[in-house]
Amino acid sequence: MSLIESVESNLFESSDLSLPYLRRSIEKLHAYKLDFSDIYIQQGSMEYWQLEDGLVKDSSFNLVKGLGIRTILGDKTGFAYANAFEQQQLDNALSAAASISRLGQSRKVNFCQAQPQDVYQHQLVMKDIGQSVKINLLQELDRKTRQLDEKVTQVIIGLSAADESILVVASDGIQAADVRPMIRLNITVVVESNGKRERGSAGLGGRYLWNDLIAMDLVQVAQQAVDQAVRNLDAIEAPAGSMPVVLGNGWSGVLLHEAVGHGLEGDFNRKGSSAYSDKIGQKVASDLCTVIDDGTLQDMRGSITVDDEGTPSQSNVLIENGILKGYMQDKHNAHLMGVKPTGNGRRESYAHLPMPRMTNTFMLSGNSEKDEIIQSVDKGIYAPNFAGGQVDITSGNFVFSASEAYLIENGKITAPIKGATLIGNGPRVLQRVSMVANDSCLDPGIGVCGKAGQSVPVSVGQPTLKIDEITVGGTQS
Amino acid sequence: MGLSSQNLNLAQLAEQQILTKDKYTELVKYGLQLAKENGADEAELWCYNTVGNSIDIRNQQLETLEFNQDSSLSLTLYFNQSKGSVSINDVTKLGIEKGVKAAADIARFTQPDPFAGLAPEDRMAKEIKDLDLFHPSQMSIDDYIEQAVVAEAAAKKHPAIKQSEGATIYGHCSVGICANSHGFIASKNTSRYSLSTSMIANNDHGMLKDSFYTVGRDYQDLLSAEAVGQEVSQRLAARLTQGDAKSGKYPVVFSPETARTIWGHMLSAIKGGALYQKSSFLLDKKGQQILPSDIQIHEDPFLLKGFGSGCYDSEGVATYKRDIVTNGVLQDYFLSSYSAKRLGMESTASAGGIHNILVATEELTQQDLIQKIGTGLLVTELMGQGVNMVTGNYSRGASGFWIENGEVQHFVQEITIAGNLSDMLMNIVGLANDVDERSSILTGSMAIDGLTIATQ
Repeated sequence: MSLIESVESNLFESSDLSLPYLRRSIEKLHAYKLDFSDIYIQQGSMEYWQLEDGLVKDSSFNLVKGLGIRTILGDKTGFAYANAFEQQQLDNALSAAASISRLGQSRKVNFCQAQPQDVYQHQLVMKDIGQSVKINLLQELDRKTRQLDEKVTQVIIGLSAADESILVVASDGIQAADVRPMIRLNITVVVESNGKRERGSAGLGGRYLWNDLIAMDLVQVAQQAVDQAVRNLDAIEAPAGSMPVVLGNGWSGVLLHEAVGHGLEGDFNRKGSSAYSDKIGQKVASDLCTVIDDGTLQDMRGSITVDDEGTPSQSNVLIENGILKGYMQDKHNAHLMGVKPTGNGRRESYAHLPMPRMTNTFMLSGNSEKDEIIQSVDKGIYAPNFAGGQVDITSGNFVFSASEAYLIENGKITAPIKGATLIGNGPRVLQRVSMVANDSCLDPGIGVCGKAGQSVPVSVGQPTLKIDEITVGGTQS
Repeated sequence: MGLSSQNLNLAQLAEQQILTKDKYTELVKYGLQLAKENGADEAELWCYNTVGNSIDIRNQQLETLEFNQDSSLSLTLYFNQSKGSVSINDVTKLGIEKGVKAAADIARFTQPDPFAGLAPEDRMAKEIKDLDLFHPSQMSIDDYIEQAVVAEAAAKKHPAIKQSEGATIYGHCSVGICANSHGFIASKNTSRYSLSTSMIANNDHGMLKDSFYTVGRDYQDLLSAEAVGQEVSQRLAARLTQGDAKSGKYPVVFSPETARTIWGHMLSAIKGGALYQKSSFLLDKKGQQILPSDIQIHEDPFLLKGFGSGCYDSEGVATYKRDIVTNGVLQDYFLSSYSAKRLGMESTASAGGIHNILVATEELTQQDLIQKIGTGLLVTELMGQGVNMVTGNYSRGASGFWIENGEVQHFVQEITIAGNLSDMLMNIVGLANDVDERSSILTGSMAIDGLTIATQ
């Protein structure tokens, strides 16, 4: 059985819906004057376990299913959805979504199947292993985390496993299905010493199954959380003002996500509201910067076989040697801008409209060594870990908040400093990237990207790099 | 359910929702009975249903028309202090059966927690007052579109504004049912409307965006579309003259919108979870001075049309009016029955979040605060996550206006403000009466002394 057939039979097991019914519905919908329409069917489940005080005492299970109907006419969009897999519900949503238009000529659609490459196992993660294995895993991890340092007073471990099956049928003839597993682990510790208290947090995740997680070195994740908390106990005031900043590799890619990523999403650029609007072919970053969004990386958190519009995921060069190459597109914005969709049309659920979103966004390695970059700084900071970021895509201003950072003095990493927010302007900051190391990697699989109230999982990545000047929001001026 | 929202106004949808409510009430009772049959000692259930429309327009044309129809069911079962929770969006008999079974399955594996369970039976709300939260409107989709178009047009009137980000309007009606195995069952109908618009202008430094929204339980209470547009226009016009801020230690005036976030951090730090996890910069501060002695803060769950109003919390515990801060001294925490038991205290009816928080104001305007600080920053926008709840370390991105000689000089952006929240709260030097009523934290502008400003 092909993937689409197995998803169809699984989703519509006890339902009067079927793939042929969806195809007929799309054709029926096009009795209205419309440029495009699609039906999105989603079913997802998630389980979550939380350990606190050494006990796995919180567990939850979430089940969601529904269908969404979208219609497009020019730059108008109609959208209706329902939470049941029933012909009646689909028909109601269909006529609501069609209300942006008037009746016209009906037309015949030639349907074909999307032929994407597999980038993860299309398996339901839930039934993978027994519940007691998960409980044991959490308890053992709790015990090992507490052994790492006697200052650890509290350990909170959250573990979630989710899977999602989707089915898309669209008036451009595309039919596609995907089954997307997702595992996510997070460890938070509180440490206490001499009346001072701090918190540290680390995690990992990706589109894989329980057995893959069990095979991983999870104590190393706990070690990161403990190290971060313990170092922060001794943190001194962070400096305030403009200075050179060296970002560590991996999760620091939050910089790219905020400083350029969002600004290169097609919807903002179609409307001309991004600081990067109309800049294709122009120099928007230093020569050292090549930035890629690639949804096809094996098992990564931001990967998707097809996007939520059925377009196969692909690798898109956004910036090449500092020159802006292209935007990330969904079908609607691509059509209006006269370009091709890039496999970035994503949505949080059946009850949300798709829009251009990032997948795995990262910068390629350069030629410098990390040590050489640190040595080049007289006075500045080294920031390997971040709590997250935010951008105003119109002004280009972005922030990202360091959760772990150190002073660099005379080419050496010295005292840990308290968390500080870095603020800059995307296009200007990327011109100031003066050294890029040869150690690019993706974050461990912990990113959630929010846009217009919709959350989707993403990955970010970056080599160690130096920004000659950026504003550091400490208290020590 | 088979309800189509096509061409129905909210009043008509609300009428249909009454049927949904009756159906949900029966389902919830069925769920409680099933839980018992499955051997659960205790159970609690929640059902929600929201219907309505969300509409975006841009350049005076309809852009998106959304028919919203969301429902959810959540339930928690307890077996000998072991807990299992399930949420499901399929609110049907079959959905409830699946949910109860899944919760029972999962609870078999969770470990017993001596503090787990329902809130005490004698704390359940008995009297459900009408708090005036439900106002289904007769507005049609075309009426909505017209209002959004007016707001956008009014916003665009300023000659410097060349580009619209559009206007959004929505109207939603919700019903929520809360029940538990003490026999508690109650429902709450609410409505909510909002109109917002967002514009882009250019100054010498590039593009700038600003937006404004009005929101209310009753459509009649919203600001006029014209007024919403004018506010955006004025806000953007004020940003056209941009200049530099100074780095160093300065007093900062927070606009009501940004002052609300500071109170939000304070409130998070006195929530049960943060306290028992020892992850709060206000640990063990009950009875101690955390704010200057002229500051009073109250919680009022019974505010008519309030966004945080309700007669019971998410565990069914009766809410009540109380003092949070009196003369700067912290009076009480925000506790669910679980966190209360862990801390050896009593529930404060705070499961599910805060109710309306009222920060008492002085007879001062924002302009008075600006005059008072002389030189410093007026913050109108904050960015990023830079708040450490354990230590109170605070560092966020900001934009706003530079103040010299007690007067606003020019727009400033791409700056940071930093300090420690414990100190910041003690260093509040003024609260103005320009109270923003658009949220459940009601506060005016606020001046805080001694923050570190960093700029390029």
